[in-house]
Amino acid sequence: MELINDWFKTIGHAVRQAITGHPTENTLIEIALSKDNVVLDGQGRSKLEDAQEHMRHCKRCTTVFSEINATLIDINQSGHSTAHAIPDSTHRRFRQRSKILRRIDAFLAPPATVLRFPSIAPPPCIRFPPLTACLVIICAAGPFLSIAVRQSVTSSSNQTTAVSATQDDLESVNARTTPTTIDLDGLNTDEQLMAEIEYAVSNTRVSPLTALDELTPRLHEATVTVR
Amino acid sequence: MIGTKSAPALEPFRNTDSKIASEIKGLLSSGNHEKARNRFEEIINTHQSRVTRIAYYYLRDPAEVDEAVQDAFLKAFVHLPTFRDELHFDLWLSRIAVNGCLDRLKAKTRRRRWILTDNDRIDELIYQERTHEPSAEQRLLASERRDQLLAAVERLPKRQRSIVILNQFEGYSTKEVANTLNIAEATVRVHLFRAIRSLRRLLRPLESDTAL
Repeated sequence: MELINDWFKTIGHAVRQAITGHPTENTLIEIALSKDNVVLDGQGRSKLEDAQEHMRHCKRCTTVFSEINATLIDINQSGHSTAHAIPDSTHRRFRQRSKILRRIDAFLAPPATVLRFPSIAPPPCIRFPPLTACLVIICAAGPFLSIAVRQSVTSSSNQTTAVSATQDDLESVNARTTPTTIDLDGLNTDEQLMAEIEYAVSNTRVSPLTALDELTPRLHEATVTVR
Repeated sequence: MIGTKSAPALEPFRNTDSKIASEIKGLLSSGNHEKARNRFEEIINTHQSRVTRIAYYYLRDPAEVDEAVQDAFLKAFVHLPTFRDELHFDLWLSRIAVNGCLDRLKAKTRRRRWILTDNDRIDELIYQERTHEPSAEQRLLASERRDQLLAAVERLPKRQRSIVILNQFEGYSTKEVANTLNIAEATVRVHLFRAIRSLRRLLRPLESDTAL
């Protein structure tokens, strides 16, 4: 916005200069600024010379020019007095300089080492002799091994009994369907009886109760006979 | 067009400074930091007052000026390896200082937009009290005039303000200002004219007051 205003003003001044014949404010400022060290090119020099020539006869332009000069003098003087007003003692300068050098030293110093954040150390690992370690492992694995071995043994014995049980079952079924007289001599031996009981109990496929039912009367008979 | 005058006080230092800067650049690249730091101290001694002055024109707060000066020198040292030898070191340093001050002003404006504490006003008053010298009436008037002018300069747009500070206060030529601010010389002149016109307008009521 300000830039646009400036442009309009500049154009306005140029138009006014063209109409009235007065040099623009910029030209007067230029003359005022360049009066000490005049380094002019051809066109600029002729323009300023024309303006200076105009000023000799124009009171208004002379007044404006003197105002511009006064402002410039004012600016210069204020600049100088400001420079003197700055609190700039030797002590202050020395302090400032040492601060700058300290900051430069800090910049030049090698980069600081980064300390590791203290972490909780893991407990030291207790080392057993190999023999003890083996013993411990065996003890630990013992129950599992025994379970596994028992499982495998049980399953294999089941398979064998299952195979034999099919034949025995058939025999028992035949015995049930065709009731025959029990050979008491065969039951006389305790071993045979116990073997039959054991078989009946251990066999999962043939219900132990059925086997016992089959055996019970014969057992009763056997005990009676024995008595 | 406008004279290519240069700040006379700077001329003797220019070549020496650029030479020292190139030397420091070499020392830094070769890893000789200690020597580079010591050489840079010479540069600080030479330019400390000037950089402080530039910072003061912008900031007008001693504590902030101090920080801005420190930052400018540190930044110059850090970025010295990128310094181009064809530039004048003092212009390069001025550019760093000016940019730093403008950044600070921007941050300050942003802060003040949200928070305007009484402390700011008190600090300003204390500082004005300290910088005023009420012993002689004329000096008091001069300092008042100076404050008015600085306030008027403060109201100028950013670029115009920088140009007035460097050209009028610090005595840089328009070419040097152009180099410092990294803009064309013609642009500097246009902005300078506008700035002077604006200052005239801003100071006119005061002039009429003082005339009465």
